[in-house]
Amino acid sequence: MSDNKMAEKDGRSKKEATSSDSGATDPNGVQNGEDLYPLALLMDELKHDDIGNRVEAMKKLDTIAIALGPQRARDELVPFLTEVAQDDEDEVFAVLAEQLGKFVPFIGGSKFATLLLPALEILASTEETLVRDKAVESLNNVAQELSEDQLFHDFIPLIEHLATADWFSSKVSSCGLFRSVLARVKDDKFRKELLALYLQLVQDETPMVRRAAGKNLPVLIDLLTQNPDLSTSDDWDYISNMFQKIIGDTQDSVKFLAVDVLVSILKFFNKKNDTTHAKDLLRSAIQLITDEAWRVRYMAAERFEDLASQFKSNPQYIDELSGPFLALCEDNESDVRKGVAKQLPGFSKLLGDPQVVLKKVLPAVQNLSMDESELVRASLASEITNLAPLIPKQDAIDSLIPILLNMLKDEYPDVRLNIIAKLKVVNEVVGIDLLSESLLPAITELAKDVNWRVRMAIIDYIPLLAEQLGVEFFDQQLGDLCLSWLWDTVYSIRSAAVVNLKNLTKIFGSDWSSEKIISRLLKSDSQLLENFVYRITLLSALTELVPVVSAEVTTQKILPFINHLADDAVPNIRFNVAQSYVVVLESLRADKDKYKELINRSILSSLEKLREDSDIDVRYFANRSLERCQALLA
Amino acid sequence: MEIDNDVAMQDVTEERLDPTLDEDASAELHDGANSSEGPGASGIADHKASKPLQLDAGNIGQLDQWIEHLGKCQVLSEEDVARLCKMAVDVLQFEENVQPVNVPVTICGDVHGQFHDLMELFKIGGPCPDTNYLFMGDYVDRGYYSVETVSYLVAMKVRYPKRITILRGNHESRQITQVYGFYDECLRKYGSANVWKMFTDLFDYFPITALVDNKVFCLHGGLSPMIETVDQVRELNRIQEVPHEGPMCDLLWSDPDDRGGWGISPRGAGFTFGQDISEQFNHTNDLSLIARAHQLVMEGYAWSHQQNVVTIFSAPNYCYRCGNQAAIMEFDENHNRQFLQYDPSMRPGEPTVSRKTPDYFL
Amino acid sequence: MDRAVQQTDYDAFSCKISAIAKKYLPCQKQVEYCGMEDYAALHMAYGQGLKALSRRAYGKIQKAVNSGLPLMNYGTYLRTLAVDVEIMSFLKQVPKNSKVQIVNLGCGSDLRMIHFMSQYPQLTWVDLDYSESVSVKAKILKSNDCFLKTLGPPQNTDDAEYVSDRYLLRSCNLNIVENLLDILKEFTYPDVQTLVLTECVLCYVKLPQSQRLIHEMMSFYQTGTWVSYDPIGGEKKADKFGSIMQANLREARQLELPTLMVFNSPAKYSQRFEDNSKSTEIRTMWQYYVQEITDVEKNRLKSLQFLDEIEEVEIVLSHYVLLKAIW
Repeated sequence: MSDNKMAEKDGRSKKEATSSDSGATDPNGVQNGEDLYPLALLMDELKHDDIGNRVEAMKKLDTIAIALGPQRARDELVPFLTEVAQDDEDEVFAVLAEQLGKFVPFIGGSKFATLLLPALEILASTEETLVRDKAVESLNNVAQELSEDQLFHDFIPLIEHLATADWFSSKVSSCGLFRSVLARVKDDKFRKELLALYLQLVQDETPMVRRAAGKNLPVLIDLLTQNPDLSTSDDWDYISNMFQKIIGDTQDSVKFLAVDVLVSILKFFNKKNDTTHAKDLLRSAIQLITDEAWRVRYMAAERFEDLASQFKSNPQYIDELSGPFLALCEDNESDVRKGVAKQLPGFSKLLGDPQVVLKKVLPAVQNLSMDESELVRASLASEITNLAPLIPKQDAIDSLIPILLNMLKDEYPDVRLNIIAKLKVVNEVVGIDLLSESLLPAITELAKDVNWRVRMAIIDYIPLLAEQLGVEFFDQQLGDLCLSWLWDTVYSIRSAAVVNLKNLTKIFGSDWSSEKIISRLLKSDSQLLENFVYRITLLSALTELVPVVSAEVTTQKILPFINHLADDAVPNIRFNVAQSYVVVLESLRADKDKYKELINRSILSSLEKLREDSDIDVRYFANRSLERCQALLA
Repeated sequence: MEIDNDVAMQDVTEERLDPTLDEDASAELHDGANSSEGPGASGIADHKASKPLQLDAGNIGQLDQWIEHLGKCQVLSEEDVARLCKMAVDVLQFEENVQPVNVPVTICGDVHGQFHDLMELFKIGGPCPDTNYLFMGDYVDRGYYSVETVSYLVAMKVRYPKRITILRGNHESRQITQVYGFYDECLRKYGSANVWKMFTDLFDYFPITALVDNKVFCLHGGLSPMIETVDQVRELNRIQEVPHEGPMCDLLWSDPDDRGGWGISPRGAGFTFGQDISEQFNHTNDLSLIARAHQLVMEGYAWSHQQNVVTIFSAPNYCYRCGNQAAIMEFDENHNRQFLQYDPSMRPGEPTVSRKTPDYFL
Repeated sequence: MDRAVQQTDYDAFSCKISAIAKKYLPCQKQVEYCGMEDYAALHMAYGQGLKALSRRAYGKIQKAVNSGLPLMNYGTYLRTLAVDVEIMSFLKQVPKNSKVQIVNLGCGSDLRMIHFMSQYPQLTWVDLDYSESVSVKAKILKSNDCFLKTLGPPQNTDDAEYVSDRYLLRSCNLNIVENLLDILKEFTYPDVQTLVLTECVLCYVKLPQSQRLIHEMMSFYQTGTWVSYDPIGGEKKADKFGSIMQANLREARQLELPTLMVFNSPAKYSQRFEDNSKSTEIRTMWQYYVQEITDVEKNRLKSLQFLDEIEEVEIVLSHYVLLKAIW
């Protein structure tokens, strides 16, 4: 570390604070030397060969700025950083760009905020997307702090500068900055100039710039929607022009952005209750939905509900959209069908008339449910149950339920899982009984899936299903399955199975649990119990049930089993026994006088014995449990 | 401001000339690892205790806190790593070259800094200390989270010395970690090589083999032509950097092979050994199985030598590139074996700018 | 996307520098069979030239050199050697004094032309790549005598390319075959024996364009040899290497490998060339390692770095192929 050398470079005289490491903390250090140290350190680190050091140094920028104080941060640090911004690697730039966004307080507040702009402008021009994005974010942060005056004198010229640069990366960044100024410019002429500039970006020769402009345009329009009295008809001529350019772009990857732009435009006019353009905009919407580029259709499909709902004040318009909507459902591209499959209930709601839904939408549902792409079917499954409340009950039973039943048999687990996850709404409309016959095989299949996360997902739905199916049905059909999960090879499944039993007990009650779960668990095959994994799982299951069953069940059924394991050959069992005792005691505490004898005889004496165990972990957990028990009894 | 360094490319490349088998040459590798600061320079073993570490409420609280922190994949401070390593020395120095391990135990292979996959392993096999674990080395290098991985396992070891056994792999070595990433990761995460020095000094104390219920011999690599009995392993002086040859090196480097007898290893060290060798070794020592790690196997585990040897590999999609499954082996009180295979965990987004793609030829 | 592909140039060059720094390259065969001289010095000189032009590129190379894993060094060594040997065998079978041409498509920072042009005065060499790589390369080549003396004095004043009597370095978008053919018509002869080299190039080109490129080149030159090195996705169902590679590169580098899973086996890769060829030979780089590298050389490699990743080397190298097609 050569702060000595740095001091010379800075042209300052200092002697005390130069002895390497002790410099910063030298109690005799001259004020000046102490202050200089952080900057010298930073400069040194930023010259380091290893980029890791340079990145680390950059991360400490805030600390250094605080150490320097605002004046020197302005005079020395910021100019230095502006130099750094011109020559280093992306990793360093990314950190610098982020740091500068938080720098205003360190240089003396918003008054001086514009000093940060030159460095950020350079960073906003780099090629690396990540650096640019961070610089743009930071520029927008800084812009929040600027006064109107500063905006006009410094920030807007910066935007203009970037937007008219030669290199695409600057232009791309400029697109992300308009949001900071557009709504703050109250002068109509000035705002028109900004929009004119943005229009240029929308028509830039580089697709990347056009893409960035298209992507940022909805945000700008939304700003005008939030300030409905701000914009003039001239402004809207520009925006309309931009929209036309984007919708007519030769590149699909630009054109598809027109969908979001259109949604934003529609929101503006809806807010203004202005329907004069509605017809034209409907044409545009249909044009996008039926575009020959699949990417555009995909975007329209993804946003369909949002887009269509902008026309909901006019049923005729909604009706006009239904044709194109159904066409999307039969699109050649599976991605388009995947997008639109999620929109069926939403659009059906807009259609309103149940007969129309039955006649037009349901056949599409039928087709999509048998789509060749599993992703399309899974997408359909994730929302389709929401169709149930939109059609008459009998029609739901006759037409929708058969489709759902078929989907419960789908070969792809996600399809089945998605249906099961959203069955609640079907249950509310038609009751679940109709589904149960197909539901069971679906659940059993999922319960056996080779992917343990699929098994996990189905366990999560069991309490919900139990509630809907009722105890009788559950006992007959699902009880065994729930117990069998306890013996899964994967720990997380066993653990989820344990929690599941607890949740079921909460639903069906202590008596049920005692009879249907605990008794059966206690009758487990003795051969099974030769394996440590089974014993510890059983212990964990019974312990987990203690808080949700009656004290009687705990003392008569669970506690004896726990006691029985207290001298298990495997220490892991014994220290889990020690921990289980605390859980038991916690639940008996309310009646501690009634169970005093039992507590002393079995719990405390057993713990005393475990304290003397040969295994260190058993002793540790026994001691800890004993302390907790004593605290509970006190 | 001249930030660009003026070191000529030739200088740079020569300065970082690769570790060779020659220890003296490698000593000059990095500033931090130069000859004046060789093994032991971290100071973690300067004040070794004469009896195993006794845990009290204070250090248990400390350890539990570290474990919770590390469990979120966050590194400890350099000072805490120093404290942890000092405690670990006082646990590991009292373990044996052939560390006895009780059943039931779950036996695991290479982890290689794939921290999130290690967490997945515990989701499959159950949390420690409820489940006993035996790891057969290679915690560091290759993956992006070597520091977190080895810190976590060492903290668990100190906290629950009877519940978890951590053997030494060939990557738990000063030389290998300078080639395969742990050294660079320490520099990147701590700004200096200190943490690397502490851990590599600690690695010297790791036991090199384990014996599960006197029946399953566990080690990272394989057998050595210089070792016929388990007792011979007990006589080795293991507290040292992994040597380039000799029995200790072989135990950490060798591989089973379809060809009989001893063969030359395709790696830089160790040997290949045939079924005749394994059978003889198991017979001589009254063993039922040799369990080892070290080799990438696509299913996560692989039998060889007619079930005399099993290879277990616990880093799924190794190096985020190989597309392999991982596995662990549960070995219960009745000596039943069960293999559990698993796939990579969902990885949360990697740190962004420093584009950490696995290498490809492009 | 073009930009993402362009960036891969520095990957290849970094790998080469790493392999040189660790002494994998040059190997005996390059020196003795391929007659390569001053191998390390030339590459270092190029690296120095690059440093003066782009800290970014230089930083990347430095990083790669510092962390060069044995696996990458093995792969780079094999790829470099294999291509060098193919070029040399091609040149050796050309009758003495008859003209011969080599076209390196997607040349990047490759410096092979220096070694071969200095040995074969009748050899004309064409290096083509994206404009940005080409202009950097042209600047570096023109800035140092060790390159200038072999390539010959540059004729034009255009900084962004290099044209001499025997050497052409020019920008060209390989996706547009017409542009490529225009350049080749201007600078090469269809009736002269020609070697076309594509090293990690075809894998980035979309299926129809790549097939057209192959077809048009083979039609343009009456006789020739095509040497191509590329990754293949793997055809077994359990083999996830290709799909993971696609996902990794897409996520981290915005790189697309449109045909990786199409020509996913050596046989399928080879089929792309078979319609127009007299003969094709293809093998994976792992096969190349097993079959072509002598035990002595394998031992030398082992002594350079511990190779703890032999299974991984096999997996990775089995997913790269070297093809030779003669027409």
